[in-house]
Amino acid sequence: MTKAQRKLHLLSWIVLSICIPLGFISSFLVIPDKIMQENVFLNKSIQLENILTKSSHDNLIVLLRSDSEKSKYQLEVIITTPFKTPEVGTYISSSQNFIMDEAYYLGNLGSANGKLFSLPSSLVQQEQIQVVLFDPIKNELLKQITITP
Amino acid sequence: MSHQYKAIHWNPQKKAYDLLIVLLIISYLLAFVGVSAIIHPNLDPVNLLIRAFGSLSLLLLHLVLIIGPLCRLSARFLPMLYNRRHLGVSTFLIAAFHGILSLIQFHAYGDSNMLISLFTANTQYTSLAQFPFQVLGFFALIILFFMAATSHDFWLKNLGQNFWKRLHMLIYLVYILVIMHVMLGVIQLESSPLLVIFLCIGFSLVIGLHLLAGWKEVKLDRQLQELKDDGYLLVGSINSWEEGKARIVNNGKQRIAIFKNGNEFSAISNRCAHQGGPLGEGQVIDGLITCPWHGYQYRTDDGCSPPPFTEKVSTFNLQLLGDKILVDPIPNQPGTKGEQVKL
Ligand code: HEM
Ligand code: FES
Repeated sequence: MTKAQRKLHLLSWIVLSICIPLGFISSFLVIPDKIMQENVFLNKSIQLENILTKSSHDNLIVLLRSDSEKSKYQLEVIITTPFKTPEVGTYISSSQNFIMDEAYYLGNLGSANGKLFSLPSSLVQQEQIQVVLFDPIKNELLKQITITP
Repeated sequence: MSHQYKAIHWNPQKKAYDLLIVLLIISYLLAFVGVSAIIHPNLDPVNLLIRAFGSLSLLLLHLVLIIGPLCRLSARFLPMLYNRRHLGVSTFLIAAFHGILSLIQFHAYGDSNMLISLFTANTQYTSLAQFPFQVLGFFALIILFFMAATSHDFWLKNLGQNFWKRLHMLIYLVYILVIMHVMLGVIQLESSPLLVIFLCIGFSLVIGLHLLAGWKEVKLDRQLQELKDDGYLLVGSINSWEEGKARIVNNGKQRIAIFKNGNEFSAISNRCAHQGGPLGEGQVIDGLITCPWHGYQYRTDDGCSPPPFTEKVSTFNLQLLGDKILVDPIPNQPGTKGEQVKL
């Protein structure tokens, strides 16, 4: 190596020795109090066989699905008339009062005409599930649906 | 270093090295699958493989990263550097298996294309806690791909040593991307705390060794400014050499290796034409200066590799003053004869 290359190497590592511990520590500081994604099967759309509940709401149909052992759950949202906004965040809220930062984020419905989201089983244990469609860009609540598993 | 160091060929050491890599990989995977099958009997087998290959690629990445500074700190580790390229390519292949399995498992069954799903399934790009950590792994994998694809000496030659070296320094970017991929994944998925502990030990080791080696080298660069006499640099008394070895001085821009071979002294650039290895830490074998990294060889008088090889390094002119060897700090054209001192 040349002198300049040696210097560049040392400089890179001085920068890394600051950035890596910083990234490491800041990840600790933001550990969510509940697990954000119990599994990472976000867009998975092989439908689970059992339909536990099905309900229609103006422009959408919402189905809660599970497998035969009730170990996996899915929320299926079918849109009959599309939303006018590109960003349709789908959330599960733990209370009637939806607060985006506290809700469990499933994914973006976008302009799709339907989507399957995996649901962590811990969320299905509750008596009621609040499904919230929310536009985070306009900060606008589009729809709030209560389903009873 | 041994007499068997030969450039480029498949020799027994390379085969032994590769065998060791394969054994390491197989035993890690078996151990991981075995232990996980006991601890998490219900884990989906594909997820198990994703974790096994992910953590193995992390381990290999650390190994690849510590070899360089270890070799700067002690020559004992040089055998690990000899075939490091294959370790790097293995790291890419294992990481690719992990990444592709993850893409299939988590994104192939969706409504959208796998790659679109990777980028859009989670769009919390502004949140650290919910950041789509898989995207970080994806970018790391793309860089690793380019590094593995250009790892062959064919590309080193065609891209030029400087560009190639810079391209391969992107491994540092890969490293930070992977650390954040794992950390953000861990906090979102509640993975084992063991992983976090290993990660912490791992990056402390990698950073610590690099800083130590880098600091030592930069300090050496400063120290190696030698006394000047008539514009020549003083190297040392003819009795201060070990046979077949070099003393190294610094002309302010680069290091110069001055070798003693029998009763003959000759000076060449310390920087190997292959990947910039420290020629002055090698030795003269069969009359040829042999690089300690991968065994490229150069003639003492003109700095050319013996035919059929075509590598060249600069030579420097030497003078004898009393019993002292002096070197001209201005290099000769690579591959041209330098003035030697013959006793
Ligand atoms: C396309 C690229 C990649 C994708 C989609 C991806 C995806 C994932 C996913 C989904 C997980 C969580 C798995 C789980 O815990 O169940 C994960 C974990 C991990 N990934 Fe990646 N990854 C990619 C590239 C990489 C690369 C390049 C490396 C390292 C060189 C890497 C190292 C790891 C490690 C060490 C873990 C933690 C393993 C564990 O959970 O035990 N990944 N990755
Ligand atoms: S032989 Fe590879 S750097 Fe010298």
